[in-house]
Amino acid sequence: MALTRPEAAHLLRRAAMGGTTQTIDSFVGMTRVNAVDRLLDTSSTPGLPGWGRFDSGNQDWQAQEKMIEWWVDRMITAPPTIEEKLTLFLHGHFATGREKVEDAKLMWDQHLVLRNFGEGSFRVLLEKISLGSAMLIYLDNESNVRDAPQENFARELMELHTVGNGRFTEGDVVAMSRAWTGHNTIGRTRENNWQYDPRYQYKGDQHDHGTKILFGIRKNWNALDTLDELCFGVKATATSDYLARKVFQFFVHTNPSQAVVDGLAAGFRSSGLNIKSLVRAVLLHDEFWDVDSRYALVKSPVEYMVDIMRRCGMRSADDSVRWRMEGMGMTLFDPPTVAGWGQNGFWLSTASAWTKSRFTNNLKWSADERGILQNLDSLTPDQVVTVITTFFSIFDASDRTKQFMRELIVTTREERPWAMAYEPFAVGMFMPEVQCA
Amino acid sequence: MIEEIDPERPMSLMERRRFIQGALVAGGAAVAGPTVFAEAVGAAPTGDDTILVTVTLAGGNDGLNTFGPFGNGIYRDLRGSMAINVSGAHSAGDGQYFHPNLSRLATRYRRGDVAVVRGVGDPLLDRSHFSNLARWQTGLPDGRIAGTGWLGRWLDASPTNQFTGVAIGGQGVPLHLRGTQTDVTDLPRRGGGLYGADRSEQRDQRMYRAIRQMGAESSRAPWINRVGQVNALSIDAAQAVSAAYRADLPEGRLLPDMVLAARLINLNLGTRVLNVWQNGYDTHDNQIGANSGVGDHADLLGELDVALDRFFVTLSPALAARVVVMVYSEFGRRVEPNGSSGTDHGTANHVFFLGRRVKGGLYGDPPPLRSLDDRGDLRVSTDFRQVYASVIDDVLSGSSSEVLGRSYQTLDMFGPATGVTGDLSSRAQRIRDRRERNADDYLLNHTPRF
Repeated sequence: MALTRPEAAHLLRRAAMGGTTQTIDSFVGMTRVNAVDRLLDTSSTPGLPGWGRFDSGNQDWQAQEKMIEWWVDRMITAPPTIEEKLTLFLHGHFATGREKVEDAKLMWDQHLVLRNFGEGSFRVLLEKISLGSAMLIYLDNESNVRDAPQENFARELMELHTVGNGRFTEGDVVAMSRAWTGHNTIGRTRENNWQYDPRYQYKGDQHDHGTKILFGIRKNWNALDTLDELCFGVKATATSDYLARKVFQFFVHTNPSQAVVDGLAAGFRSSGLNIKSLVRAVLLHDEFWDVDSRYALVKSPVEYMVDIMRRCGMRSADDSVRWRMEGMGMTLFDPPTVAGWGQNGFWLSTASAWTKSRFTNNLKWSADERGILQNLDSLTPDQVVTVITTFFSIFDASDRTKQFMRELIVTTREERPWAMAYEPFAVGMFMPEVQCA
Repeated sequence: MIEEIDPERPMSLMERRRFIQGALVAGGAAVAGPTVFAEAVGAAPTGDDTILVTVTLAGGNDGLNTFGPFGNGIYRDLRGSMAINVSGAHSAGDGQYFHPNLSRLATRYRRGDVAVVRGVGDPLLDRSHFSNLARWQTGLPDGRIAGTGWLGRWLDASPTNQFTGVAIGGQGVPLHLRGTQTDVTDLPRRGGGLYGADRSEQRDQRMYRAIRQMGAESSRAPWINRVGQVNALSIDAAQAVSAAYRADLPEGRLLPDMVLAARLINLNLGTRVLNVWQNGYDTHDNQIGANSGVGDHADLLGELDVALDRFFVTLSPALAARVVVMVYSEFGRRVEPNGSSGTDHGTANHVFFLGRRVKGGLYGDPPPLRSLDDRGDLRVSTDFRQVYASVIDDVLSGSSSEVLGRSYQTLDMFGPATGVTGDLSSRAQRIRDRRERNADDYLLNHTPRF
């Protein structure tokens, strides 16, 4: 089962942050297993910068902006592997945002956790994230204490991070929040001159050491026991089901059958909740390769921008990446809610389309400056259509799409020969196929 | 009953009850000319259809210092240095006062155009901004956070075009306007050069045509079709709304958004519900400055007061009588101040309604300051979904039990439009003012030419 060009393009759109036609062609002819394993091999991805790269010493949002630009450039330039896409998925799954955390350094620390632990055990990742300062602040467990339990984290831990809605009771929320009391940040102390210290600290005197009934089990629950129970105990089926479904939806399409999810969840459990093994099973699933799965997802704004900027040889410094991204409804390190970002229809709005068109109309000039649009004048309209669709690696554009593109090329060539390349190119970036994954 | 909600389902245009026809059947024909757009705006609800503007005060507004018993001894004891002084505040009668910076709102109240619903909240409150706002926006009985919002479900059940629901601010469609069947137009504050607005150049027209053609194609994968449709819709929407951006918008945060909302209503594109955000109400510190009339909260309320006023001034008189503004926040704040000249997340809050269809006055039981809950917070006396039910049934002529998933007792807050004008000043003064300050806005009150 040697990969065809459309299949290789599909795989790179989903498992990586896209790829140029040249990169796609380097996957053509490989077996599915070899191609997937090549993308899952992150052993030689580039190293990560230290915090100093972003620490502007000025406003916190400026550090965030540098982080966004760095990440976009990394997604554009890093060799295609699962790392960037998986980190993006996990960023949305364990959503925290600078708007509430108000400290870009803590967002960066969490980002490193997502990268360093995102491919291994979900149980380990869950603990690292839950006890990380960004999450402690974002979901308020920093102030969850015995005498005034705070339910925010307890609820989202179950509803969003592990078992999903409807698989726990309100009583479980109460018990869970009690189990997490005392797992706070250091906070404001006299020794530190009442400056807020965001580092994690277990405060035994603020922990509720009483007996709690969680998931019907009566014992003196403490935080880490609950994670074990969620991952490997009575909630193992629910958690594996929830994650298998969500990973499938992110990488394949949004409507998996229960049978498909059951199969993936069982494999996930038997791997000890190894994230990479779940992703591998999803990418090798027959439904992933089904023709109907192609273009079944709308690219998120960052996927869309990264893919086009890479093709045009651009970097974040060449465009106002952070503002474009916000205009399209996706600011990295600042997801809109505890539930992260949505999919498909979530990304579609008039304001988003207008921002996309500004972006593409800016890029057509940049592409021209880089010589990408040269030599089209001597080609026939059909050849130009092929050049443009190939440039965007749309190997399976519908005949109608190609026909409309061809008409545009013909009329432009008649009326404005010098602009022949720009307009079809800008419309090419706006092709619905280019906006889908 | 609420249908099973599937926010991911791509929408087939054929399912739409009413929709912009012209935009999508343009096909190989010329780019939209007047006839095409006449059809498009022809779907606009007409007559006396009401228009609801939600102003979302994000962060948790301190309702107690917005409208409260500022002279009351218990209030003054509980709020201490953060109590608002009666001097400078605006009496609403019955010992109730508006914050000193809400003079215009107080004037409208005295004129009978403002309703204040007190003690409104979510009985399930957990004090998280995110989950509270999401629950408020969702509006389902069990406090579930769903993929659709209360106005989105109303839109789904109503005749719509893409301007029936409008989000102001360009930050995406807020959850409460999200349905599964209805396109909501999301307008950025800066509208200069919205792609599709400029029809003067042949080259642009050619590109618009290609984009529209790609949007009209239905033979591809469902999400390719849907993306193409939204691309085409954005081209047409840009042209339809461009008049709202023709004159410069005022500087500021809330003010330009409220003026933009009014201008959009004036375009008469069939808009029924809009949302505008005012951010910054999470006043954990510096809520109050050197005295009760200054500080972050006073600044925000002053901004709100001016923006609400300019909104009504900007509205064309023909439409002003149909507009109801709802000002709400995800929760109130704690009664007892924290140690940082601020307040922490609290519970019950006021919801304000403005407009000539509003039966002015006080609604809901005020949470008694003598009898706070076991955390020292205001008790919720009115479920926020009762407020929604009143709006859906009595303002939007919908079915609240269908939209909200169960029946709630409504508050009798709305009636036929009364009064003469949405403006505070005399009619003659109003006309002079408008000519001076809002010449463009006034002129925008016509169906746009295309």
